[in-house]
Amino acid sequence: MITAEVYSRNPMAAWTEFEDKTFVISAEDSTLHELNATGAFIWQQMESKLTKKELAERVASEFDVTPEQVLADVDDFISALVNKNLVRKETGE
Amino acid sequence: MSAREISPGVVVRLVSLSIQRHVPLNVHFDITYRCNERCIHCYLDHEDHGEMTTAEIKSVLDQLKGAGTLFLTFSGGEIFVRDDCFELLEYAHKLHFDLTIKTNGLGTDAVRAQRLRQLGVRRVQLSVYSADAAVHDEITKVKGSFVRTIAAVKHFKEAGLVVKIACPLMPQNTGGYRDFMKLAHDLDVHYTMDPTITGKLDGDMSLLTLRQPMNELVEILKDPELRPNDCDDSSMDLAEGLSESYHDIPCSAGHNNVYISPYGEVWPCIQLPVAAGNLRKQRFEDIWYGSPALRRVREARDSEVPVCSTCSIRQYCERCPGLALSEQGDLNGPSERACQLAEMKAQLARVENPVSAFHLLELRGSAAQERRQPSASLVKITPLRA
Repeated sequence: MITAEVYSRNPMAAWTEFEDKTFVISAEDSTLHELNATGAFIWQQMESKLTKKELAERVASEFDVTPEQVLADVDDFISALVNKNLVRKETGE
Repeated sequence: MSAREISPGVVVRLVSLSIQRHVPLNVHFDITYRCNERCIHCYLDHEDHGEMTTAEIKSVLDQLKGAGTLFLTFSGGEIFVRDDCFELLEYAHKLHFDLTIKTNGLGTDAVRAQRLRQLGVRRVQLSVYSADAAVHDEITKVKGSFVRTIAAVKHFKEAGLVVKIACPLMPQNTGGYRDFMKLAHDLDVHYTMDPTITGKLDGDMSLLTLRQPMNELVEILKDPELRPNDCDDSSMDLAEGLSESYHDIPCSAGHNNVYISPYGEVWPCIQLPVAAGNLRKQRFEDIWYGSPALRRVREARDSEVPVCSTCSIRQYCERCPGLALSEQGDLNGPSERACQLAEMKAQLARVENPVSAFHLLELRGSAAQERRQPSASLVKITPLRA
């Protein structure tokens, strides 16, 4: 059985989108976060549970770069969101 | 890609962007005017004249999400007299609003508080009128309400909500304001006190007799624990940044703030009942972007308000266009209450003999009247002692 870590938005987070930005409030500590255009795109994608590799592929197709070029940035970004409890990490098959 | 944590800068950018783009960031939604208390200062008619249905409110919430709303407050009336309150909160949670509720907490136990937290309610505000149970109950006209409301405060705290208790100041409770502050401290919750008592929404102004006379609010205004920013020039960066966001506009009403009544009426703010449209007949975005009434509200600029823009003590003034409308009939006019408060604050800041532009006009009018009618009183206001 192959397991992979998948990521999705914390359902307790509140957010709004306008212009090319997303503003997210963490329900746990009431902090407000601002995501830039790329971050907002990733946030949108995490309505479903996705791996970092899948997220990197989606970013690549949206912003005309290769998945390899963005994987490290996606990794850092997702890790930061997990640390802030805005994103949940699960182990799926 | 980046995710910046909260800072004054993030808040200011969010607020500034929402004002520039007219995004209805903050929505105060009274889902009912019905209530299980009968507070003596309440401005609402508690009869149900045809509140929006569950489906109608859900449709409005969908529209608000599409318009960019983030901060949604459910208020009333008492929101839990609606049988569908939890259903509405659950729906709002699925739309990812940041949820605040205002309640008297009478029916709240630990289970309800936990459920609200699970439904994404982050903040709750409860009206507590005094630290003295008898005074509180006399204001709500419900015996035992103090004990039940304070129990609810504790349940909400234990459930992890951010809790604030709010107290409008009236002759009945102002004397106990220090005890109220101590109560908030003991409960470990935020608090607010407000001397603003407004007339009823139907135009009945009899409630204004419950306003605390300004000269009796001096001690409170001087109390550094209550209003630290009034007594300390080291204002918080956050507040300073936000004031820049609202540069030259009277307030957020109609810019990034909107009020919705249980009957679908849309106003710029609960304090500014200017009919902009009705959600039973129009879509929210058509009202928000197309209403001539909202356009007029948005065009108002502090620097262009006829009398107030010339006032020498403007920096001490918190003129509310809604109060100006209800008191003087002109949302771009002065507000007697704001003038009195500004004069008092200016005096506390050691401004010599501060008189608002509005009162100066009144004085001059009185002087002219005096020349014509020697028996009339010349001085209409008496500056307060420092």
